Amino acid sequence: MITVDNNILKSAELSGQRFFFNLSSRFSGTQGGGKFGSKTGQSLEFIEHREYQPGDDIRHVDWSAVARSDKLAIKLFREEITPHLDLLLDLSKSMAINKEKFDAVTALTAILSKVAYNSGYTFYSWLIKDMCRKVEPTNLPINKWKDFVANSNNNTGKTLCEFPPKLKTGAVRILISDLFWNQEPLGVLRRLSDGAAAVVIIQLVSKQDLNPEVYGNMRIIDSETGEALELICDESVLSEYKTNLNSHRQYWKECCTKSGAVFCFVEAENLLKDFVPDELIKNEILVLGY
Amino acid sequence: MPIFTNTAALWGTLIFLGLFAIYIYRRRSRKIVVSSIMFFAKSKSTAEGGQKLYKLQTPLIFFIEFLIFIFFILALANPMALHKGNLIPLTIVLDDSLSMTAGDNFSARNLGLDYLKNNIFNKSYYRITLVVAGVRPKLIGRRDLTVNEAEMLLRNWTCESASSNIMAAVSQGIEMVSDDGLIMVITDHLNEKSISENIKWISFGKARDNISITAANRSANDRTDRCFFEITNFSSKAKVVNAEIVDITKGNILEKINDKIDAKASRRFVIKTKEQSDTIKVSIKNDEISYDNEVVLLPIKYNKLKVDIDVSDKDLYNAIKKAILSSDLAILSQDSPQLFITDKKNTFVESATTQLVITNATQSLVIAKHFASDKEHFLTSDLPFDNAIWVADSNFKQIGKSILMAGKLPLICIDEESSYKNTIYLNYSFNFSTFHQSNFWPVFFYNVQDWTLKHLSGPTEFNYRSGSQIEVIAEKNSYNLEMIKQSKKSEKKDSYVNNGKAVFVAGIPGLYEIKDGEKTYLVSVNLCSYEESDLTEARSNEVIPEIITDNSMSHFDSVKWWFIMIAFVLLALHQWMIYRRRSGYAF
Repeated sequence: MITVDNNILKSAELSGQRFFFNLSSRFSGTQGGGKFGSKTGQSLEFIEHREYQPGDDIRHVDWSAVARSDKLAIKLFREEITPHLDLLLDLSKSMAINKEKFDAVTALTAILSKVAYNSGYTFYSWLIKDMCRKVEPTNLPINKWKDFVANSNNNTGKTLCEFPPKLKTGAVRILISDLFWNQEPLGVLRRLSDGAAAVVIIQLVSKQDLNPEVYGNMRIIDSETGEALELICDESVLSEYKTNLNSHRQYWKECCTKSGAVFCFVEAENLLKDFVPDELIKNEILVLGY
Repeated sequence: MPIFTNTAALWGTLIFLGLFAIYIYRRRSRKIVVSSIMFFAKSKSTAEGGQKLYKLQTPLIFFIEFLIFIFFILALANPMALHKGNLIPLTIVLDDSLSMTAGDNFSARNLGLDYLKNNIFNKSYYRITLVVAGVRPKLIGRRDLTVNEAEMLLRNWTCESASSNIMAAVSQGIEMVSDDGLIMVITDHLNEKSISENIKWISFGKARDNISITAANRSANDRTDRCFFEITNFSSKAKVVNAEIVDITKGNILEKINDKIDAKASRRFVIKTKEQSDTIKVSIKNDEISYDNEVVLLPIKYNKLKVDIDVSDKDLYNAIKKAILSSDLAILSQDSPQLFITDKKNTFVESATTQLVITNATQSLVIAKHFASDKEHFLTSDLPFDNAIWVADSNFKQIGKSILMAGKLPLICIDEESSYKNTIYLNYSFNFSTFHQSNFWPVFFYNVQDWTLKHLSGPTEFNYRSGSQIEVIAEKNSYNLEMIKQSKKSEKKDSYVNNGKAVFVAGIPGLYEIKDGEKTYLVSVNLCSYEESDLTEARSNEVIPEIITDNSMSHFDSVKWWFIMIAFVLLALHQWMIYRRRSGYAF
């Protein structure tokens, strides 16, 4: 059974300290909070003056500025937000098909938890097995999380649809999974995006998933269901496998686009090289600190 | 259960080895665990196994394929089943002679029993009639037994008979079966004669060395008994025989024999004993085949005949008396005589079994030569009357059966009223005849006494060779006699008295008690049989013949289609098993 590697955890946390979430704009419209948002709002923090435009609240007219400039000007203030991250972790057996894949799960979790901290986010972690369980207390170090082992035989998509977690409204929701389950993506995404500030789907796969070493007479066994398939594998079978895998990923991407979710693809071995989640940066989920 | 008429096809079952080799040496799949097999699901799979049967596929599919082959092969072997349940009549003739027991556990009897159990009684398509071939053939149980009943009744096949009349048993079997019925002979020797195809001669014999007592007899005279034994070496080389002659009444060893006997040779031994009332036993000590190693000779018991002579002519009286006493078989006694000799008509003695009535001539006729005698009769056989002058009464009327005649004139007649009352009439004028002066006069009276003795109650002999008849003169009012084997009291035989005699067959060697009312006689039956002791010719069949003949096949129908149909059903099942269905996926 593959468990948390403390070295990986330490390295990932160090790496995570460099990043911040670039998702403030997603919290627009929320009232109050301990953080300033990137847009104008109702806080006392003054940003600038702006020329009055029809429709602006007349109570915001800065009469002193009008006197000085002889133009109607209004005061703009910063908005206040309460950012929150719900991190959902697929802990089905396929997520620990090899050590690299589970280490990448650990690393991503550590990076994102550190990024949430850096960004002033409150942070809940959800472990998805036969049902979704919240890690409590929420500030518990990752290596002390109870039952943080990928050993479930359940269909993660089905669990998310049938036993959805009680997620915080207006929060950022990130799902880390290989998505190797047979469940309609739109249904899963609908559940996740309902009341969310943003939904990010991170498909985490290992090299073994991308390019399995199958050649000749093979008995291929599903890590979760135990189902077996007798195949004579050659280039054509491998090619067909890759096509199917890509089709699957493409379909998820399309569904994410339709649902307004962000889809990121992370290769475990690449992440573990430098602990920099390039795909998240590329998709502007994370930004380097300044 | 069908039978297979083309057994050569069964060699096809060796295809199992090929099938097995394919499964053993086929390319085996390498196992790999992947995150999910759903991306392989559209790929072509190998043409075996179904999704539900991955774990079982090899043994189950192999087993089904094997069964398919087997059923096709069995169909090729042309299986036949009984037509509408008709059973094949089979008469089993069992050799019941002692030689079948030679060899202990591997005796012909035991091998025959094994053969019957493994080849006949385990097949339900026979109705069996068991005939035991002993001295006389005997049916065991009833006709048309089931195989289970026949197996139960085989305990009556004891192989204790002194000889086996197999051909008589086969004849009896032929009478009992229909034209397409089978006869099987279980014996220990091969049959040299060619016999009908329906008669299967199966032999389980084995040539063995044997030493046996082949003859034994006991005779007596006035003072001593003479016991005679013959020991034969039925071996291919000379052997030393260790034997003992024992007086078992007194427990004395009379003689120890330690002689070498050449191969296929006999040695005779005679011992005389004055102990005329003792039983003598001879036993061979150094021979494994035991049934012919022992004989028992009982004492020859008889008392002297009591003769009363009531004859008025003194010379005739003297001549008769002299002849009677010279024989040493009789004493003169007026107390309940068993032979009464008289010259008076209508004078009878109740106790006498035999009465000799001498008739004096009233109208004499002289006769010389031209006598006609009954050569078969005990009294007149071998007696030459031609040298005598016979003066007889020409008015003599024949009474009973005439055994000596001159022309139409009877000279000696016998009136056999019953075995208890016989009257001999002698038409003889003593004063003018010369027969009483010849040497044959005492011989004639010896015959009369001996004949009388043989009509006294009791066995005619006490020591018998097996297979011979035991004749017992019954008591006057007896109707039924019983013979009981001493070593096996449950074995009883009855014989009705016919004409004063009861006859038993000395089939199984041993000591027997014969009960006649209150009287009990002991007789000994000894094997003394060359046929049963000579095992050098015992043989087994090189190839045991097929029991079912072409004639018997009319009882069967071909059932190969049953097997072909089952094979096709299995084939369909096999195809269903290996058919793969694919499930759909979201992508």
